[in-house]
Amino acid sequence: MKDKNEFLQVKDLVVEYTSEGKIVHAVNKVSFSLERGRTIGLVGETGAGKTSIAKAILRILPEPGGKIVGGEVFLDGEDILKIKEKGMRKLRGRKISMIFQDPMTALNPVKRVVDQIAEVVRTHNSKMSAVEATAEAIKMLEKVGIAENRVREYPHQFSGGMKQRVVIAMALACNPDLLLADEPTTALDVTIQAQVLEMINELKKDFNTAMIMITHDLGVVAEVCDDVAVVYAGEVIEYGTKEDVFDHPAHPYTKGLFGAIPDLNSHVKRLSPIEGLPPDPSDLPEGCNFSPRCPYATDECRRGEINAVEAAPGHTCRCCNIKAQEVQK
Amino acid sequence: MGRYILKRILWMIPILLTVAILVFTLMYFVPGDTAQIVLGSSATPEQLEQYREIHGLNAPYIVRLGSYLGSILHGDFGMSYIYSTSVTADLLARLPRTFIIALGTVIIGVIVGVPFGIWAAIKQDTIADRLILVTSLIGASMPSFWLGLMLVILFALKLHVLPAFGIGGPQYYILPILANGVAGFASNARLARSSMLEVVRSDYVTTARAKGVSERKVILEHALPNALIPIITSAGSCFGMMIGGTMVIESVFSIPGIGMYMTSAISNRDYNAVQGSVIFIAILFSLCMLIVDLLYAFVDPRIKSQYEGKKRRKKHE
Repeated sequence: MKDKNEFLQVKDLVVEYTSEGKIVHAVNKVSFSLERGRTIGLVGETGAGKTSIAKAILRILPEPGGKIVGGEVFLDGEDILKIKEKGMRKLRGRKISMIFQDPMTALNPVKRVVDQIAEVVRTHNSKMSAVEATAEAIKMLEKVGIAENRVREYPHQFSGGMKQRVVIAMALACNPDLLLADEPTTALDVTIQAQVLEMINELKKDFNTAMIMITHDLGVVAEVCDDVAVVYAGEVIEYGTKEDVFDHPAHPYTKGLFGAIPDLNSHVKRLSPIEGLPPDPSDLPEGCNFSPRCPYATDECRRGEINAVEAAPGHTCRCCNIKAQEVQK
Repeated sequence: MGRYILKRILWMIPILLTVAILVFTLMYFVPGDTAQIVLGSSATPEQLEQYREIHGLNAPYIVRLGSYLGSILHGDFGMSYIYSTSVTADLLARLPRTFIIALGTVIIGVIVGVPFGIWAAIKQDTIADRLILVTSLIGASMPSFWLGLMLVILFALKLHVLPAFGIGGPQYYILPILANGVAGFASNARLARSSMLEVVRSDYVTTARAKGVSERKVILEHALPNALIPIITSAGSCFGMMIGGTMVIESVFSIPGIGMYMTSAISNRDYNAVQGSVIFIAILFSLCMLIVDLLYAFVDPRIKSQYEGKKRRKKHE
């Protein structure tokens, strides 16, 4: 898509799950790229394949079942899908790390919080003693606002917000170059959401980390992201800078998403959702995946593969009749 | 923690009391005349009456129950009607043999069964997994007495390497433990496999992988401690059951343990011995369960904080 010097470049990534003999097409030819210090938002509904993209980059898809079928992921020019498992292990936690969606289940219930963080530190700094690693972990926990007198407790003694902080501290413990944040605020209530987002933003600035922010919350995107990729049924259907996508949404699905946000200033009796449901990923429709729900769909949409077209320079959209939409308006 | 242990030990008192009353009552209403059984069919009515008078068998139910419970509290299970020996002393003398068999069985089950179960879980749906599953199915379906006899035929009669029955040196315990342990191995392997499979799919194991921790550490340090709880439950209750349940294997190998003692007491209608054995086994079983519960706390901090009660939790808030 862009030049090869990009820090992270995902090209035609395909992920499939096998379940009960059926093949679930979770991620279909997803491509995007990311520079250091920037944040891309992967936006989409539950089940659109956002988490699978992140897990595929880290190569921690659930086994057996999940499989990367095709594509390339370049990190600093190296295709990390081709690295051996042992080499990959050195990247995980140090160069790439992930903040998991559900802090309630992401921490090991039988290990002390501080030990869970010291473990990452020590795994990637083999010369460090256990005491030093623990000191480092305590420092990291203090950075996310957890006092030293609590660090030796177990996850069940922590509240949801505190657990999320621990998960974030764990992800940032080795100053990763790439952070995969999988809905880091979904499990939290609104007041803590804001704190956590602010914290992530600050830490990101401190370490010049590139970040993939997975979310279905457009407000979160507006707050932290530079670029946006809208994911629908395992495909990036619209991709551009935040300003492009927010101010000039091109794809009918993106338009629908923005249309569904209620306006605080006007009186509406009913919300305006996108009619219908996302397609079954084990049985995707022919042609455009969004065509069954699309108000502008034509016969052309239901035939063959839909290519991404440029709506504006650097702003692509996977829709075959952007022009037609303009006319209908 | 100390409070919890004390509470649990105090709880054992009503449980054991109930067991004692139940067993005594059942034995009381079992048809059959103790005096007749002890003195045999040739005894005269006078002799029988005299025997009943001496042993307090003519007293009403409630009086006999009271005096029985009273003596139990002093650790005295009465005299065996058949051998005229102290039941308590008999049981204590036999306990070590049964204990060795039970412990050996559980150890085989845990030390061999659990690692195989974990291995099967890691290699899910491979040949190794299937092989372990089939082996454990066969192991679980073989009755221990039959397996015991087969082992005797092979190792004692054909190969002449191990004794066939009786007690003596440690070699006498090998075959009984083996015969008994196979079923334990099978159930532990299956249990370890299923609980490991559940844990391996959980989020925190994915977290551990995402940290770059080696697969061996992920399994041993992150998954295993969480998979241990059901394994401890099963191994613990298995040990408790074994104490009372080695009857079959003790009979096959003629090992004078608690199981044998109880079977012969039942067939001889040796009431005191039967009652004593049942209550003794109940005590051992409760102790086993107490140890299991304490092990939980050791493995899982969530359970530990429950035991420690509200007081400490409040301090944290």
